[in-house]
Amino acid sequence: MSIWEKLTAIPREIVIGLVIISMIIPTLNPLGLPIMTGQMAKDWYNYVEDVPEGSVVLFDIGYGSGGYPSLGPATIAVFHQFFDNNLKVIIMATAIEGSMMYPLIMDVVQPETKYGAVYGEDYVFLGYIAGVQTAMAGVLGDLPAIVTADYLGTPIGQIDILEGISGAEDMDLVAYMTTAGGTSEGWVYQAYSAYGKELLGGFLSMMTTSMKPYYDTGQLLGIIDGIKGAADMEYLTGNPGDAIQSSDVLSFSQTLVLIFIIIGNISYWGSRASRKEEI
Amino acid sequence: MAILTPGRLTPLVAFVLAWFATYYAIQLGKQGKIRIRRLPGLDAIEEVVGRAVEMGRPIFDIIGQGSFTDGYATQTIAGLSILSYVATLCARLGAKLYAPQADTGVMPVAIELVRDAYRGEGKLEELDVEEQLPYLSSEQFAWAGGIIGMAARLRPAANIMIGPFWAESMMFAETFDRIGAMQVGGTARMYQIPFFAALCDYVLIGEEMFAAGAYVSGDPQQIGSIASQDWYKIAALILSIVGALLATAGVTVISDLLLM
Amino acid sequence: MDYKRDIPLAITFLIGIIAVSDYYTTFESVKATFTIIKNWGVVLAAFSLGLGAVNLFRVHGRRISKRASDWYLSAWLLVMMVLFVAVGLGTGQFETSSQYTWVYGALFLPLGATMYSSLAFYMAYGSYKVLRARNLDAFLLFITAVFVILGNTPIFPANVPGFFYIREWIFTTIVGGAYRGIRIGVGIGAVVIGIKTLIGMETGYLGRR
Repeated sequence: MSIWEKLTAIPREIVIGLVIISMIIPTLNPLGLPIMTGQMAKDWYNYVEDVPEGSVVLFDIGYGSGGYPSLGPATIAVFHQFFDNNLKVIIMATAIEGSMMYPLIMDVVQPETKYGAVYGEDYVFLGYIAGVQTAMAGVLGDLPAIVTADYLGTPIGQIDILEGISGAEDMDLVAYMTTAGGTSEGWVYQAYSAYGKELLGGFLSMMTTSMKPYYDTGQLLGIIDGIKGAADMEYLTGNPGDAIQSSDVLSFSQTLVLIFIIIGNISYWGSRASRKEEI
Repeated sequence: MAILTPGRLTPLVAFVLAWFATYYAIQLGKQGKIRIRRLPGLDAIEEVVGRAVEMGRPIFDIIGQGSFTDGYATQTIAGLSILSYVATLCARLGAKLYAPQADTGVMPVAIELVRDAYRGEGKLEELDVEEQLPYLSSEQFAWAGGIIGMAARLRPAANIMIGPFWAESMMFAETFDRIGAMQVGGTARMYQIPFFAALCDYVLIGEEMFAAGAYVSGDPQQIGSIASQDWYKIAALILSIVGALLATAGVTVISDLLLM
Repeated sequence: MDYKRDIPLAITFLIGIIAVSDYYTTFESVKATFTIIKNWGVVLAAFSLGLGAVNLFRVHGRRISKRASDWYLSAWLLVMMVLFVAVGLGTGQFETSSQYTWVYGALFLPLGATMYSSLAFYMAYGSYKVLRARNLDAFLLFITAVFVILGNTPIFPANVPGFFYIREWIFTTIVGGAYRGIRIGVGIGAVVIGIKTLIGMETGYLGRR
């Protein structure tokens, strides 16, 4: 087997093994490699900075354990910004596991300790609401009809932040993080198309291609795309966390993948050339 | 009080026209006036089943994680049409079919379709539903992990994946490719089409999978109905070009019309 | 008349027309009827979850009783199912209890995150194997992939911002245009298959041909 043929068929174990090593090195020894913050995340950040204090934000946790590594850090950074700007946050979950994500996020954000926020006055979690777009339509159309108690079972009539909140007209901004295509587009239909609400969306990087047209047309005012967007938000909000650390991992691992792709092509053409010579 | 929901007049008109177009296309199909191009992905299904029989290895047909109540119901229905066809071929040719299930609402329908196919070929006794159409999980990666495990143990000769897929599409395509299975992939979920296109031997992109049921049945009426999709696409293309040119010139009549 | 086929088809048509009317019209009676139908759907989905659980017990119980290969993994699955249900119901607080949160965070979250993250390795090896410029189409795919990776990898745009803007251009014009075209086709295809379902031409969902 010529060197070209060997390079064309590098065993899976070697490729994946080297990718793992490229991820472990920067994890154990963060290098602080530079990152360039994207415009979509900047737009998200700048928009929220301009929202007046006391404005009401509806936030949807639309992901579960699979999306947590990417969108968890993004949600944490976003919540830091919300509480830092004294916004009132109504949190809901359209993903079944979203209600399991909430305590994980709040354990890091610690709104009471870091920002003096009070549950029930400055933020509330409504829990999982079934139905995706049906849930969105219900919350935006008539929240008290669809939600009778919060996550802890407290009737909404006893929750200060929800006083006077009947639906979309009482909310200033809608934001969400999701790994589901139906949810990401659903908010555009239900919040923007139906009520003209300002909308911010966060999702996995692979979904950005499909959702970017909404950003280009102004239906989405900002996008956080996956771990890269999360790193941007951590940088912009001044709360470095897992996402910025992961940027080093991204830089290393994706560079390695690029090298393998180039090796694959060089070896493919090399083996073709050497076969022609033999003929 | 308005009868129509605001902003939905144009979609309603388009929907009604689609009814007429579909009906007319079916009539043309009955008269044998509609021909559709070959879809290599669907033609290949008989080939992959035959390959499985020759190699003495099973065949997988994965219809995705969709249900009948979400936005991907149409893709699930397309996947079930193919499952029925594949089950018929497997029963006829003697290949062992595995079709792991993810949705408890779709599962009874899938089981009934496969039973019906085996019964039609007189091979019902060869079908073990609990082994061949097991419910794995509604949880995405539990289902994906289960299928990857089954593939690693059973080493199928062929894998047909037509339906709505999410992140697991790449996992399936790569895993089955690694074990040497011939693959036919099709989905209308755009995020996943690139993975199928890159790794599957045959791929159905987007609306090609909606033609699957009609194509494999060979029924002239069904084939005729596919023509109405193409007429609408031509209309969309013309509207897009004309609208873009007019909008560039500052005339927004097309976009205003579409927003009515 | 084939009652087994025609009655379900008639029900499908009726409910489909109600659903379409709910979307296009403002009649309160139609909206109220469709809301009831959607609620029925939620109840049916809940019952079908129970069906799934029963199926799991049957399939894996059979594997355990027959001592099939890796039967202990089936036993582990059933133990975990019972554990999660017991912890959730036992405290009476379901997923809000600290015990359930702990079990979820210790078991389910790492598994789900790991499976999702394992995509990176599938993509890495898949990219190496597939992105080879064998012909013109493959070459275009290769070049596009290289520029997208260069734009996505944080270190490259930080040093050469041009990579980021090239990636943005690829996403906005080439990929965006292609996606919109496919999206239009998919939407039209879905409408036609919906119409075929309503008129009874598409009967796959009935479980019989």
